[in-house]
Amino acid sequence: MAEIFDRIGSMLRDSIIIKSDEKNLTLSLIFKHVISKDDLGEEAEIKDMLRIFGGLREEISMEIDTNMESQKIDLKFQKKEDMVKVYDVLDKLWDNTVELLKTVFSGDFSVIRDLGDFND
Amino acid sequence: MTKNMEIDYNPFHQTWKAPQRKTFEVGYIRSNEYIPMRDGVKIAGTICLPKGLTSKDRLPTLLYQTRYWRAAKLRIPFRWVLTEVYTSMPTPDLFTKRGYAIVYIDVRGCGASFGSRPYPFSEEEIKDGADITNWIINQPWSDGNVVSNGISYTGTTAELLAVNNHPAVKAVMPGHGFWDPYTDVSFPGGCYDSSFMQLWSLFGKSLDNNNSKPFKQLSPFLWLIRKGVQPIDSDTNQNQLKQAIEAHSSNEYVFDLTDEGDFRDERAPDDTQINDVSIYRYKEEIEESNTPFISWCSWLDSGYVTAMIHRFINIKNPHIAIIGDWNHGAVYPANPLKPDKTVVSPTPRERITTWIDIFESTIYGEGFQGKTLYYYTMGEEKWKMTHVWPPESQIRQKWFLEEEFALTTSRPKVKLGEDPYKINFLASTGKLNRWWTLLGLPIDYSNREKADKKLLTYTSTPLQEDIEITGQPIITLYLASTHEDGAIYAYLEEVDTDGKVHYFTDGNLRLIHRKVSTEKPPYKTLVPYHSFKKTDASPIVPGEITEVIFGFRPTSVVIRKGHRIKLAIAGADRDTFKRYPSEGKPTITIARNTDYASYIDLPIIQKYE
Repeated sequence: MAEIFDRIGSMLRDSIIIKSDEKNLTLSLIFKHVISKDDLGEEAEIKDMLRIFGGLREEISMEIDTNMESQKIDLKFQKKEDMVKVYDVLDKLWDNTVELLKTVFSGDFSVIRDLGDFND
Repeated sequence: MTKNMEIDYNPFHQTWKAPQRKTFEVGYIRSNEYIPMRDGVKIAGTICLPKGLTSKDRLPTLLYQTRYWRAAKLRIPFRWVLTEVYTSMPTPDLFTKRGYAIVYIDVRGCGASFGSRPYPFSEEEIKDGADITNWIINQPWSDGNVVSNGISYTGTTAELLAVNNHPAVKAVMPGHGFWDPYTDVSFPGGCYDSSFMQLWSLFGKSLDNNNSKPFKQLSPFLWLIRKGVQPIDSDTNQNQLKQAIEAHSSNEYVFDLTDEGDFRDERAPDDTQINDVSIYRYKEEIEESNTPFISWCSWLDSGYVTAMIHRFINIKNPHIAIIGDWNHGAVYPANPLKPDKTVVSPTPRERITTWIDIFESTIYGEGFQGKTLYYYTMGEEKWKMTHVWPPESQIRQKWFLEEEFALTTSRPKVKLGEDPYKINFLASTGKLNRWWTLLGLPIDYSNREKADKKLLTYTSTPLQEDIEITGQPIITLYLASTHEDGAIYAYLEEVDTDGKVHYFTDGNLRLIHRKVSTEKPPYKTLVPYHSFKKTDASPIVPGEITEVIFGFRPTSVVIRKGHRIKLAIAGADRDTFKRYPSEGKPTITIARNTDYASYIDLPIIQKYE
């Protein structure tokens, strides 16, 4: 099963480019493949992803813009330090996601205890 | 026979002959739509077809009917790279590559399907299988052949597809399914598995309300990945999904129907009883279909392993049965003698490849005749094969409870031997036992030395030679109790040369159900028959010795020379079963003397030189 999760990590790495625009304080997730509006995700889902899979614990002010035409998600910040924090999370996001899946699948549920819940 | 000439009975190494058929490239196309039933209820289906399918191609179909969401809207980031059937089982890839269509179904009252359900596996749900099969064979891509497989709930829906006797259904593959829902899952030994029943009902209720929150406690892995059930493709604003979920509001759940119960013949408000969802009630219809069966399970899976044996010995259909050493659903290995084994064998890919080979053989090739049971003997770590159960070389051997907590093949010689045991209601096999694995959890009985300290135990001297125990042990206890009700949980274990205790199997019985019935059982069984009916139940008379006899779940294990057989007796299993009696602190006294010689009867496999 570990290989299956590793493959998910590889697929994410291969499918999505993470770009930073320091001038405009914007981080972008750019999809290399065609993605539907529904699949892009809502603001709450993106925040959940950063928190639960990325480990972003603090509340960071950001504007989230999902763009079907350009097939990307933009995260716009007011402060550079906020952008840096979230960039660090995005940089390790796929690895952390895979690690979390592996740990939980192995039967160690302690890692999710303090994660809070998804905003479904 | 020399080692080089040893026959490999591993069922996943066998060859299943079938003509070569067209295969397809990796990948699949999928669609989600409603299939109308005979009564107008709309059933949600996800259809996966091989990539590169042409208008001339005709395919057999794998039908998979579930109550656990046929397809899931995944959370991000997963749905960015995975499809809605990623967590469906089996995933489509291997089947579509081999030229199968797969139709995943939300059974009525579940997922995105409309309708409601008074109980699982209702007659309407079973009939839906026939309607869906009709729909499938009328699709332009269908070659008119349908097979069905599944694990647990979906193993049972696969099995019950045979009840309809539809000519298009060519084989069914129930994996890890029950036979008798009273003894195999809800009331093993007449003791209510309150933990599983409550959690499973909560799980079902959440799924039916499209609520994934409880998954965090019940199935954390799925909680991380799945957001909700996948609507059908045309339901872009999810209005139909909302209406379907509203229809589920009149669903009933098994915990609500059973938690106050004690007896097999109790009736729900709508007059149904637990036997109505059994497999054995459909024996006649299943046999009339003569649909080939491929059933599989594992030694440590709840009471479902007993179900395997009952299915094998009771149903006349052509039958391949496989019992291995893994947990419920074969996600994790579960071999008490191989605790360091971390990867299940066969792997899911190897297993599914075998399933497809068997289906191919059944539909297009020679198929199989008769009955064959492949089983894995733990300790020997070897696959074996038999056409009959129990295996022909099985003999029975009595091991008597003796003074100084010994276990021996000699009858007691003392006139007044007995051992009192004050029931310890803290005794537990934990939450990773053979019952909790029904929730998909791994199995871990590694703490038996500590657990046994709360129990009454009897241990043999070191064995003079290896012995193989294959089949169902039967225990006979002569006991008195201070209370009118109670339960006995008996564990068959070994102590190895390092003093480590390994659990192999167990049996249990609520004492009010101790009567061995003389009426004909509803199906053939290999252990003393308890009806669990109200009329056969009676309280214990405090202080009076009574005979308590019951069978264990089957096992196959070799206990090595130098190791010791251990029998551990408890009166409770705190984290799994309801407490009996509900109040009070009984003491039982087990007699082990010339007049009342308590013993365990072990099924030993005779070795011939």
